[in-house]
Amino acid sequence: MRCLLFMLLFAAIGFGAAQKLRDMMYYDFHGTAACFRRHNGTHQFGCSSSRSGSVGVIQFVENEDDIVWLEKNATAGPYMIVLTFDMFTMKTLKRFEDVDVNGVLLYRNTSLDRPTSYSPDDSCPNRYSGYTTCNESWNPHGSSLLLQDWPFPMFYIEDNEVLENVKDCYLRMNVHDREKQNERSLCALEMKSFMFAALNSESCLKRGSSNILYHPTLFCDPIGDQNIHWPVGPMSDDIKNVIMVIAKLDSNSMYDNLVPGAGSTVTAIVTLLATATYLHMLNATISDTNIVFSLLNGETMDYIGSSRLVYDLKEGNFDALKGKTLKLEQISSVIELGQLGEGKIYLHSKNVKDDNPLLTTLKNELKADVLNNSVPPVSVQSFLKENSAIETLVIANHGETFVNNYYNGLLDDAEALDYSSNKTTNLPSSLANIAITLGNALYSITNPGSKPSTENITLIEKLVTELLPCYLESARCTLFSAASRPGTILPNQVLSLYTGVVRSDNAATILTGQLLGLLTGTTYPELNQTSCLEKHFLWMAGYNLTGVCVEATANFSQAKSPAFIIENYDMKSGKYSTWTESVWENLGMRMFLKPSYKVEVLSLGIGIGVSLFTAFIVWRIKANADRIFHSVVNL
Amino acid sequence: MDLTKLPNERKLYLCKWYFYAGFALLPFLWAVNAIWFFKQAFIVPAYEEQKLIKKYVIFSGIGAILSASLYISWIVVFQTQRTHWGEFADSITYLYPAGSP
Repeated sequence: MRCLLFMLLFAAIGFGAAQKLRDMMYYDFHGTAACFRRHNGTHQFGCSSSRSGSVGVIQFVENEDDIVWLEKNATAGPYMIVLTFDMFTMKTLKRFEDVDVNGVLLYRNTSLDRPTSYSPDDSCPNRYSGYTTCNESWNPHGSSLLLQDWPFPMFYIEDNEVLENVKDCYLRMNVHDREKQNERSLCALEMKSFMFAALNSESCLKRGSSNILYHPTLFCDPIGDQNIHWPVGPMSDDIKNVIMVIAKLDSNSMYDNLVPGAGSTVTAIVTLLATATYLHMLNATISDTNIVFSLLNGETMDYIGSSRLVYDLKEGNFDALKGKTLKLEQISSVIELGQLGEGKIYLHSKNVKDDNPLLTTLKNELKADVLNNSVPPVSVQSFLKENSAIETLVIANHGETFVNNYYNGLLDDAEALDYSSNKTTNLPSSLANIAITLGNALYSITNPGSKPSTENITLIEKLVTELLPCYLESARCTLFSAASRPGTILPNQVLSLYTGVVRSDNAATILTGQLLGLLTGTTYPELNQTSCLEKHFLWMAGYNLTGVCVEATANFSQAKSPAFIIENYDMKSGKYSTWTESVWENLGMRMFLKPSYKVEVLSLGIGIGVSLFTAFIVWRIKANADRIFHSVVNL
Repeated sequence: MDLTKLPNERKLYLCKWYFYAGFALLPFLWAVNAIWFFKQAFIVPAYEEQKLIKKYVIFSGIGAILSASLYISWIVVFQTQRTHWGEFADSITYLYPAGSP
């Protein structure tokens, strides 16, 4: 018994000691974001570490000389490069491919100025999935970093305290006497971001669904989520044509969970929600022309949402709207809210006649420039791909090139828009103005002759002012709380607008959909939770957070690329989006002191020596066992 | 089992049995047979059954070497060519490597 107790005690001490030893050896990073691997039908993109984690000696690279030193004189490789944004360019990263580099850590000192531009997307986003080949440089700062297969892992930190620790260790151990680095212990990083998938979407999906194994390992998942739709009136037989008002719901970035998409996406979502709410307030009567609002998901990944919508419309499978099925032929025009903001507004029109009343109204009211025959790389491309005669109009804050310097990057946040809910900016009023102008123009189409009442204008401005912080500052805001179930605790952070994989829910999509349902639905204050759910209505917290019953006409539809639902689809054909995301086990990074090569070899040598020595001793003892142990037995 | 303690006809019986069993796609049995009976076939003083045992040991050895070289060549070819064969290689793979093509 006593023996058992001792053993338990010993084990407990041993476990505790092991924990402490581990903590003494490693400094774990928190609040990092990792670059991960994605595939399309033909290639792989992004980063992966080695299976057990990639290790390298820390080296800050601040200028050209540091790179040259790495290329010519470095002796203690492999290295982990620590970079700032101004060095985080395609040219520099490509040079690291040829040096002994095992990983790149990008950091941003939040107390310093942000870089003037950083966009990891293509100069022509969705270059290969538009309705024509893209030769324009829409995104002048686009570096295409997202569209590379990097041979090393990449991480991002912006926590100044963590960065100080890294820098401190680096300055103490690595910097001095650089030529003799390989003779001493050095500060090193270990990055773990091993990606299971490889090659391309086709092979990783096929491998994951192999039917020889009972439980095949999953290697990758199709990227996709849900679209959100709201028709102003129900679809009936009388509807001759439909005007679609669309915006994209997602953005992109290299790093997991850091997809703010403020200027590229949020402003359009907010404007679309405001326009829809405004039309709902105006109580537009729908006779032969209906208006459908759609927020499309996965648009940055080769138009997943819009291509699926168009596919469903074409196949006659689109039944997300109440009433009749909407057909592609019914859609007369598509109006897209592109990147929006303060300042000049541009109208990119295609197939729209100059005297089109909607176009002229928008042009005059918004004092906008009209660019005829112009189609930016946005969702309308999917409609034009199917029907090149469809009227499309893109309302955006840019002409031939984006004014957003951070398109689809992690810096595309509230700060980039110069927005903060605490200070007065023109952003809410600019967006509200677009929403109201567009709403009025649409109202005059459905209700010709009648003038919309002006009493709702201040309500819409207030709505926009309340909507912006929900997406730009924290999801824990009044409107999102009102559109959730009572008692829901929302994350106190900016929601990531990354589309994510089909099989997991996306908070931004669900909250936006619920909110559109609340803003454009009918509330029944007299119904309690039970009777509400019996009628299949939505039970939400409501503005006073006590619970309210809403009959929503807004609805979701699947935004999974047709490539994954068409049987035997040729993934290399390039017709539909084939993006998949790799599966991973963990993403993490830690720092430790790596002994010099000589010490490592010495440790190994001693280990082997001790093993051999003990083997020899045992062998000798065994051979002489009779002589050694015999006498004892005889005693 | 200590072969030296077995009667000679029993040794022959075992050796023969192992040799034939090897044809059931069990080349490892041939290898075992060849090594296990090597002493009995070539080193110990001659006895009546030794001639047959010798024959079985030699053929078992040849079989073992042939199948091993086939096996090793297949492994080498498959491991080096798997990525080039693309879809066909995937269709004959049982466990896919994670994170590499």
